[in-house]
Amino acid sequence: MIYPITESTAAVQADGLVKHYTGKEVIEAVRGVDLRIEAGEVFGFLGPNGAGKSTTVRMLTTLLSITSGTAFVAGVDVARDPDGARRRMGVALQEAGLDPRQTGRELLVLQGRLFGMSPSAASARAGELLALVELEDAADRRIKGYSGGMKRRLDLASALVHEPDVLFLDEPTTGLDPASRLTVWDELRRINGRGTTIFLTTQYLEEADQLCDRIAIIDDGLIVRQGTPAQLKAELRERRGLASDPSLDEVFLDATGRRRVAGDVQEVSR
Amino acid sequence: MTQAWVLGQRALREGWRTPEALLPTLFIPLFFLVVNVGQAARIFPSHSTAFLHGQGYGAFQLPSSLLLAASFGSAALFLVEDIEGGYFDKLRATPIPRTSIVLGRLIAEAVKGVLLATALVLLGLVFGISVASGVLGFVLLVGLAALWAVVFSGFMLSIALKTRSAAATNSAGLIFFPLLFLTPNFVRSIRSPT
Repeated sequence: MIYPITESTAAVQADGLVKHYTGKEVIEAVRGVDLRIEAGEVFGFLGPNGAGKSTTVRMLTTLLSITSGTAFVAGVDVARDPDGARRRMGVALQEAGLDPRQTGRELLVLQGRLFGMSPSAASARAGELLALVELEDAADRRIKGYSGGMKRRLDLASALVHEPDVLFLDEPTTGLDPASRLTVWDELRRINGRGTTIFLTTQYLEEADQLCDRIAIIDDGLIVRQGTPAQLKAELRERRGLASDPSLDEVFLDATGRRRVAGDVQEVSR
Repeated sequence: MTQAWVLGQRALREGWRTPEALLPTLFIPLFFLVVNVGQAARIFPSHSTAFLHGQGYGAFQLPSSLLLAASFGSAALFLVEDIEGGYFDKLRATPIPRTSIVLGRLIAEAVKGVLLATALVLLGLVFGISVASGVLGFVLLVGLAALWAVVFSGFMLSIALKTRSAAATNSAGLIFFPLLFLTPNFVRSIRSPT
């Protein structure tokens, strides 16, 4: 079923999202996340390791069941109509998940076929995307020979095969060298410029500052800050009576109760 | 079904591009065939061994080799690689039935089973084994070997999905050997008189 995105429909909406893992003891990975991301936004989702970022993304992308709460992507309930939601979203998770034995072109054609395209349409779309991410020269080489940056760009392309409304990216630049990171940023700006909403998690605060219209910081399974980078900096400046805007790093440390000690970030017991 | 076939084609490409995983599937059964025939053919000469029906001992051993070839599929280990490398999640994020991911691999195993069984029987023909039931028997033999490849791969894939571990999946494959030893694969079972 195709659901039109209207002005009242958020690109992503989550209410009271909860995830518990049950085993010997119950682990509350996400404890009630509320989000509303408007169409066309680049939204950054930040948090320390183990805060619940990836779990939240995996719930929103139908890869993990939701313990309680609701989540809609492009107006589609991800729990009730997961296939409908998958048709409206593109997903590129941590550590580009690619098949090293296929060529870049084969991977994109296969992805297109899995989204219901005919062989010729999938092939044409693969060609467009290879041009978009500037991998035409490497298109017919096996992926195992690609560099980290090339894999990330191919992963991005594969998430865009079916022209999704919302693109979910889990740490899209982790492990990349600075040049590759800048290239991925350019790709993301270009993709967002075409109207695709982007939801990205990152550990790089500079990345969030550069790319995101709004950010949310999650800690211990709960969202502890949400707003534009400028709003979050202004709030901290006013609260602490600072002379100038703090960096996003300082906002992050303040929000998560961690402090910087001799170059490392350390946790402060609360 | 289209998605399963598309994923099956991908699994076949994967097999073709990984000869180090495919070739042992042919050579190990051939090795056992040669060793077993070398060990026991003199004990069971064709002219005086009733259960051989005039054929050489190799003809009696060939079905075991076919089963061995059909049970050496690599589908489950490739699936574990997909899971560990993150490609499995990529597939799960597409709007296809979850069963297609497994069905695609089973389709590829069936095709590989047909090719391997055909190769083994043809090699057997070169070494003097004949298929007494003719072309129909040959087709049935190859078809049954491929079907066993699908069944055993299905079992291995279920272990791979449950454990998500290459070591556990490899270990589960060893169950083939006790099953083999339970069969009368060296000599036809003889009912002792009561």
